[in-house]
Amino acid sequence: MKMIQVHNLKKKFKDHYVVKGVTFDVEKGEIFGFLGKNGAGKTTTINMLTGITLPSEGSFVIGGKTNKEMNEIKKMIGVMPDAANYYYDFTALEHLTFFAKLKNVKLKKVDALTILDSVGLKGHEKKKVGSYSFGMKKKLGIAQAIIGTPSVVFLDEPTSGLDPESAAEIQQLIQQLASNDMTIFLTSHNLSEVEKICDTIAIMEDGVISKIGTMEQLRGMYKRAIQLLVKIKKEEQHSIVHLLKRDVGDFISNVQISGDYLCCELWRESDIPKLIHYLSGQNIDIYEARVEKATLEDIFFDRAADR
Amino acid sequence: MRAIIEKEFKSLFKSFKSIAVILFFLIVSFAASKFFSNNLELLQQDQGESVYVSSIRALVMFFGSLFVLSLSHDVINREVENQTIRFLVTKSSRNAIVIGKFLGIFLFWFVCVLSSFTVIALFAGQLFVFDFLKMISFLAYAIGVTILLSLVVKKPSHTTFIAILLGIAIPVLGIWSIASKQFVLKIVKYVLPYYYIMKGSYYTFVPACFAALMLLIALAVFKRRDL
Repeated sequence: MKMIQVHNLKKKFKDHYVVKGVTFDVEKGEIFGFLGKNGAGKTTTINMLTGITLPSEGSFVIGGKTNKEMNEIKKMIGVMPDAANYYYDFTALEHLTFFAKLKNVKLKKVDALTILDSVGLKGHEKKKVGSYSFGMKKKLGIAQAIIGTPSVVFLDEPTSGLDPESAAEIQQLIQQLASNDMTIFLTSHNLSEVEKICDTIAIMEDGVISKIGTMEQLRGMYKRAIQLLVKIKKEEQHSIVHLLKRDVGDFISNVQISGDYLCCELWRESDIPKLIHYLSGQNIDIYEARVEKATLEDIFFDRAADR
Repeated sequence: MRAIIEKEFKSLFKSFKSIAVILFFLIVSFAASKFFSNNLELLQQDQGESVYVSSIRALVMFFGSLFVLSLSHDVINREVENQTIRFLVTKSSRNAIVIGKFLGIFLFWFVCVLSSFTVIALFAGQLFVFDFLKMISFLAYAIGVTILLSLVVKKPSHTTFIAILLGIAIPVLGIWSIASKQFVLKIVKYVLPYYYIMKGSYYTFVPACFAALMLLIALAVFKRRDL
C-alpha cells in the first residue's frame, strides 16, 4: 500500500525553482531515505509534505488525503522539523503535553515518560529545554514526532550532531517504529546510516531526484557495481589477466593486479560464480575471494562526479 | 486551538510586563472607585453612576492600544523567527493558530478588564455591563491590529518599534479625528474605534466587527505564508 505519493512537486522562491519537480512513492511501513547535498531541496520537499511550506506546483497524497486536505494529513503525521527551536521555558514533559493537546491526542503522563525514555531522555523530563544540549534537543524532536503513534513520521536530519551511541539508539528506534507499520521519511547527510536503515533511497540533486530505489537497485544503476578480489598465485597473475580479458570480457571489466589480488568489476551478482567457475576451469588455485559491493557513498559521489 | 489559547493566555500571565499592567488596572480601578464612593456628591454633578468607570474607560481608551500592542506585538513573528511555529503548523491548522493566538490575548484582556470592573462594581454596588462591553470591543480592535501587525511585519525587533508608534498614534489620531473637519481625518475617524465607542448604542460593537475583519485578513495572509 502506498502511504505517500508525490507527483511533480515544485517549489519556487521568487524566480528560482528550489525543487524542480519530484515524483516518488513511499510504501507503508517503509523507511524512505532522502539524500542530498546542502541546498539540494530535501528540506524544502519535506516542508511541503508537512505543511510548513506551500507547494508552487504539483501534488501529493499522504494516507489517502491530498495536499488540499492538509489539516487531515496533519492528523496522521508526526514531524521533526529541521532547525526548529523549542520553548525554552518549557520542560520536555510540558512540550509533549502541549504538542499532544495541539494534535488532540490524549497523552497520559506515563505515556509521555515512556516516549521520553524511548529516545533516551529519561531523567531529563523535568528540566527546562533551555538547559538541553544539542543532542538532547534532537531526541526531544523525535519524541514529539511520535506522539499519538502517527502513520507517517517525517524526520529531518534526525541523527545529525548526535554522538555515535545516541545515533545508534535513534537508528534502532526508527527501525522499531517501521516494524510497527509506521512509515518513516527521513533526510540525512549520513550515507552509512541511510544505507543501513533505509528500505528505499532517493538521491536529490539541484532540485530533482537523480536516483531512486532500494540499495540493490541503486547498485544496479551504478556503473561498477560489484568489485571482486581474488587471491591467486603471483606467478599466475599476469597470464590470467590476459585470459580473462580475452574469454570473459563480456561480463567483467577493469581487470588488474593489486598486490596479491586479482581485481575485476562485474555487472551482476550472478556473474561471480561464472567467474569462479572459469578460473577453476583454468586450473587456477583460489586462496581467497572477496566481494566488495558499491556503498551508497560510492553511488552518491559517482553521481556528483558525473556532473 | 484550545492548547494555543491556553498557552498564549498563560504566557501573558507569566510576563512581568503583563502582571504590571494588570496591577495598574486594578490599582486605578480601586483608587478611582474609592475616591468616588467617598465623594458621592460628584456623582450627582456628573453623569451619575457611570463616573465610577470613567477612570478605567480613560485608561483603556488612551493606553489600551499601547498596552496590547507592546505586550503582544511579536505573538506570531517571534514564533516564526524562532521556528517554533514549525511545531505548531505541523500539528494544527493555520487558522487554529491565528484564532488561538487572538483568543488567548483576548482572554487575558477580558480577565484583566473584568477584574477591574468587578472591583468597581463592589464599590458602586452595581454592574456596568454596557461600559464593560465597550471596553472589550475596543480591546478586541487593538488585538486585531496586533495580530495583523505581527503577521505583516516579519521581524519582532521591527514590531517592537512599530507597536509603540501605533500605540501612541491610535489614541491621538482617534480623538483628534472625532473633532476634526479635515477630509483625511474624517476617514480616519471611521477606521479607528473612538468614534463608535463615543457614539455608544449598537455602534459600540463596530470595533469588534473591525477586529473580526482584521482577523479574517490575518487568516488569509497566514494561509499563504511559507514558514
